[in-house]
Amino acid sequence: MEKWKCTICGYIYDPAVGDTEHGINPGTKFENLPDDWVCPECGAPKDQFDRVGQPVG
Amino acid sequence: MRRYRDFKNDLQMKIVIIGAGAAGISAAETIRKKKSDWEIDLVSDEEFLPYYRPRLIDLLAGKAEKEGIYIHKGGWYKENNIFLHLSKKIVGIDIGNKKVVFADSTQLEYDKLLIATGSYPNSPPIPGVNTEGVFTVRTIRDVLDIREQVKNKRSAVVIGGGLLGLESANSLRQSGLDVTVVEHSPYILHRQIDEEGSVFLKDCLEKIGIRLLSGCDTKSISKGDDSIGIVISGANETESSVADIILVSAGIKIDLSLVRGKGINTNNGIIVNDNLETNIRGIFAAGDVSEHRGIIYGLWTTALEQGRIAGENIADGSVVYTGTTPFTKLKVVGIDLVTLGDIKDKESKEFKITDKLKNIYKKIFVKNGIVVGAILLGDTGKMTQIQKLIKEKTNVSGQEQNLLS
Repeated sequence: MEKWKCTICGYIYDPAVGDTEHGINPGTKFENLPDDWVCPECGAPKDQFDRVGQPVG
Repeated sequence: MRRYRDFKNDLQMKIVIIGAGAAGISAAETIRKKKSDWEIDLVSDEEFLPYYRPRLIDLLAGKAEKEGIYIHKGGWYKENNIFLHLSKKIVGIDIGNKKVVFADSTQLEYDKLLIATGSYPNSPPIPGVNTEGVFTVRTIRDVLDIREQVKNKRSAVVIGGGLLGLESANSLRQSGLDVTVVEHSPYILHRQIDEEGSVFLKDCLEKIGIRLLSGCDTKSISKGDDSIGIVISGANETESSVADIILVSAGIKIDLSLVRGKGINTNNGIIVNDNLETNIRGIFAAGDVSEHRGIIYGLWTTALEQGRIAGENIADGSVVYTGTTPFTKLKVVGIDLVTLGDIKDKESKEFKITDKLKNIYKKIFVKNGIVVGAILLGDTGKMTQIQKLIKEKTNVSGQEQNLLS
C-alpha cells in the first residue's frame, strides 16, 4: 500500500501503521481515510498530502 | 523596450531565491513545475539541507535526527536542476544591474528575484540575555547546540509560553530535564483557549512535569560557575533560581537590512501586492519577511502558500493571494486542541465536560440557542459536527450538554 506524505510538516501516513490514536486502524488505505481526518502532527487536511516518491512536474 | 521584455519572457530566465525555508523551497518547486528550463538558484545561509522547521521540536526531543526532517534528500536538488547554495549569505542587492552580492563579494545575476529570508528570534531586553548557555530554537544548528549542551544536565528554563515555547519545554522534558516555563501573561495560549481552559492546560503541563510560572517576568540572567542564574518576578514575589540551560522563545523579528535604502517599499516587513510582488517589478517577497495587506503572518503554512503563489507568478502566472486561514487543529504538548468560532463573547453561555485523568476539556459557547464557538482539548472527535452547527446556526436549545458527550 502506498505511503502519503504531509506537504506541510513531512509526516508520513503509513497504511500499515494507521493512526490508532485517532481511530484509524492499521491497514487503512489513505484513500479510505475519512474526509475530516487531518495530519496528526500539524493538523493539515487530507488535500495537503502527496504520494511518497511522487516526482516534481 | 517593452517588446524586448515580452520577448524575453519566452526565453530561459534566471531566478534567484534568497532563503530556503518554507517560502523559498515551495517557490522553487513551483517554478520548476511550470518552467523546466529556467535557471533556479536557491540560496541558504544555513549549513544543512532545507528542512521542515516545525519538526525542530522532534529533533530537540531526540525523536528525529536531522536527516529525518529534511524536505528532500540531497540528490533531489540536482535531479530537479535547482542549484542549492548552502552556508552562503547574500549581503547586497544591486537592483539597477539585477545582481545579488554574496558575503565573499561574488555576484549572481537574476532576471527575477524572490526574497524569502524569513525571520529571526526576538531577544527580549533582559539583562544577561546573551549569556553563554542561553539559546533560541530557530535552526538545526541551534537545536544541535542545545542537544550538545543538555547532555547529562538536569534543568532548563524556557522564557515564553507560546506554542513554540511549550513545545520546546515538552521536548526538553522528554529528554529527561526538569523544565520551568516563564510566561508574562497570566494565561497561556489566550488566543486559542479561554481562561478556565488555560488553567486546565497548566495542570496538564504539570502532570508531565513541566512547571509553569504564568504572569511572571524574567528580571535578569547571569552566568554562575557551572550553571546559569535567573531571577523571576511574579505579582507578589521574586524568585532566584539556577538552570543548566535557558531557551528564549519570545516571538520573531524581521531583518530588513538587505532591502533598506534600495527603493523597495517596507513597513514592518517587505510590502507586497496581491501577486506577492514588491513595488519593484520582478522582485517578489514571500514568507515571514513579507507584509501583505498589513499582515506579517509568521506561520509555516502561510509561508508555504505564499511561496507557491510567488512561484506561480514568477513563472509568468497570475495568481492572487488573499490571505491564509490557519488549520483548526493544533497539538499542544501532545494534546490535540481545536478552537472554533468565537470563544470570547461574554454574553454566551458555556457548557462543558472535563476529565482531568484523560486530559479532556471540552466547552461550547451558546448564544440564543446557537453554538457560536467551541474549545476541544484532548478529544476532538466532535470537531466536524460542531463546525457544521456553528456554520449553519442550528438551534440546539436543550441539547447543549449532549453535544459534548
